[in-house]
Amino acid sequence: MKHFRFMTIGAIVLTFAGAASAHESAGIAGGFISGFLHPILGWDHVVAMVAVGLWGAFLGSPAIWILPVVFPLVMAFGGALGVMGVPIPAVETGIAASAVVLGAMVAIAARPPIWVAALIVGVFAIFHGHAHGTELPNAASPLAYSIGFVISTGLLHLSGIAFGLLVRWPAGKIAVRAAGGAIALAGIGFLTGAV
Amino acid sequence: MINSSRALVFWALLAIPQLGLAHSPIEGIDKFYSGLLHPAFVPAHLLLLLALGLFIGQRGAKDNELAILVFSVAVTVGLIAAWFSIGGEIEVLILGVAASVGILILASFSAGRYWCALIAALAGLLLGMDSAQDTLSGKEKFVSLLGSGLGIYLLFLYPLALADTFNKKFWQTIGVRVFGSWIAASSLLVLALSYLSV
Repeated sequence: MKHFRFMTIGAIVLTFAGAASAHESAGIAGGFISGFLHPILGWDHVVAMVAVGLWGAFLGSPAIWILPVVFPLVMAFGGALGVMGVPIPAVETGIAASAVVLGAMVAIAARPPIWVAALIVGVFAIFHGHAHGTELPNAASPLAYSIGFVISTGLLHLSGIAFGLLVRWPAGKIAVRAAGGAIALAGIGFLTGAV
Repeated sequence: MINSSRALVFWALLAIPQLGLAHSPIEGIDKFYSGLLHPAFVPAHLLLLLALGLFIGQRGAKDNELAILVFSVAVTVGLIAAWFSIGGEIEVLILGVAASVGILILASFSAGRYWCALIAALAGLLLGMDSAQDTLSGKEKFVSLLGSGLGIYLLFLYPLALADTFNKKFWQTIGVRVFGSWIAASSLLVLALSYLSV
């Protein structure tokens, strides 16, 4: 009788089995979240994106908005190359180098003409886009994934711009240049495999 | 003994709570509501609606009343076409128009009111035509298309109002242009993916 009761309880409990998900995320929301998290979960992406915002803010108008606008567009081009399987050599090295170069530009307070700054940012955007783009065909919803990672990239730029606006004050200028130096050092760490 | 068994069953059931949903999921909801949510749940539609709203708002709603009117008519024509199941897989076209409009926003291209109306007509027609839900027919399809029409108008008007209202300060106009670049970038990426799968 006791065994019968336990079996009854067990049978009742079994009828409440929840759905088993083969993947952590699915559908539009899953695609968006995985795309949104892709740049944020990679330190090499994060520091380079923040450096773009910092440099834009450091250079002032119109660089403060031209650089963050150029980046996603060229990144889309790099992403398209990644989607189509067009190989780009040393993508990870390029991403690490972007942190070194962009961080160094902020640290040394480089003020090149806007088209040179856009060109430098654009070249590195291809590497970042390629890395994101290769993940795109496997995403639960490719469009939601791409919207997620573009927004996430833009928000990282914005955080760089927000910090970079400190250049209005002398102490802030030092802080921004120090942040650029730290980003460049982190990039060296990525390049050498130390980080 | 019987009481203890009952208590055991009670606690076993409490230990397996299920997810409580405050809102109905999209499956099983009313057809009109499902249609209303359709443009919000199809990312390509959402991108084009955002892009078009920002594009017209960026140029001023007052100066582009013609485009707003033309958009309404084009959506209606598109929905009628969807009712008769005219048109096939046009998501790629929708993304192409979204990418183009995104670039126009980014460039802050000064299009005349007739150009704006033409772009609005194309966008409205495509969105309407792509709003049919395959599994529906008859009255259910009609009600769903009515909902989609309303959803499309609403999702077009929000970004339009935002871009029209927030175009006084420099940073506001830049914000709209940045959004344009995001829309263009997202659309271009998926266009590349679509091209690959053709």
